[in-house]
Amino acid sequence: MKTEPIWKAWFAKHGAKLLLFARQQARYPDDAEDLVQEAFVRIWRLYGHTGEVSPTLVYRAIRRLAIDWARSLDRRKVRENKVYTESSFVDFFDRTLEKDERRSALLHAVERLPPEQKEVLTLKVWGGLTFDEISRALDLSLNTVASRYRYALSKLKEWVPPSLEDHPVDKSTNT
Amino acid sequence: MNDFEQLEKELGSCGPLEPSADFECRVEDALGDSGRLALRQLPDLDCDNSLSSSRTTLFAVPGLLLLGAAALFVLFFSFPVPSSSVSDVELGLPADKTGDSMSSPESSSSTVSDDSPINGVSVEELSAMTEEGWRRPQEQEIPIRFFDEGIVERPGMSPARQYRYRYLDETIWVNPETNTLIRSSVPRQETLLIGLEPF
Repeated sequence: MKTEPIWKAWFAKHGAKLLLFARQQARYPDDAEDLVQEAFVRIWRLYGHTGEVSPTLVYRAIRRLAIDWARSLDRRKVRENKVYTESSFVDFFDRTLEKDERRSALLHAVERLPPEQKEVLTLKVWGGLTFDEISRALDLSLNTVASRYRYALSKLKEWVPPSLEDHPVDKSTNT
Repeated sequence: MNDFEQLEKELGSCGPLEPSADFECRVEDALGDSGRLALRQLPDLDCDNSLSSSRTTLFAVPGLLLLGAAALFVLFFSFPVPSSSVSDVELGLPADKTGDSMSSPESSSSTVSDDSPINGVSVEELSAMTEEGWRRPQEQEIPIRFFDEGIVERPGMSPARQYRYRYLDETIWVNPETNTLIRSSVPRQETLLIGLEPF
């Protein structure tokens, strides 16, 4: 009978979602993996022995670290040694989505959302968190989180109408 | 919010990219010992056990093994053994357990040496193991208990979380030719400190 560290199963379940959120939060795209690693390791060292760690804690840690790193001089030195590549929100998803015009247009539309709405949408739709968990992860009130989510969906609905198949969105407006 | 259900479904159907294998290796390295604090068993047949039940099993199975080993140990030393099957190794046992028929001047005078690798068995007695017929010793580490002792302060260093593991190191020597078995159970304790970075 073999054994496997529990964190691997946990990371297989939440790793992609954490990385997506970190890519949004990171000032520089290549910082995303470092953010996830740092946040996850810190939280797992505190609570990992129980085998059950709330993803909200890791999302929260990612966000705080991203803010700290944006201010940090040390990180600036690390960044100077890296070559950054521009990437859009669609690049953070399965490549096969590019063939699906509507879903691709939706993701491009998400990219156009204000950052505060985009982070709430990401945590709700892809992170699978409840409004209560999101409010704790982002240090916001429940009402603020719910209204940002509602605004985000309204804009997406307006920008990407259901009849998109006949009228593809002009991608040049998505940056 | 019902108007948005379709939209939520469409968005949710877009799967974010999975972390690369390289990245997982980096995380594993960064976790170090703390990554191995909680383990789950991967049974050959039933792979769908929940994490909590796996953790329960992790400590329940060794507990049962330990009980079994203890029962065998007691049985082995409490039943009278026919004199024909008594070997030199067994003569080192206390007289009240082995009975009068086994007490001889040689055995009662043997003392336990500090150099002995086995508790309660002298080096002289172990010399019997130089005889032929002994199989390679079977060694196993039986986890007994696990304690999370909380966060401890370390002078001049960052605080750490302290874990204490208790094991029973069991070694069994078997000589099928003389029908002799020696079992050594030595308790062991390990303390693990996982450094924390306050933030």
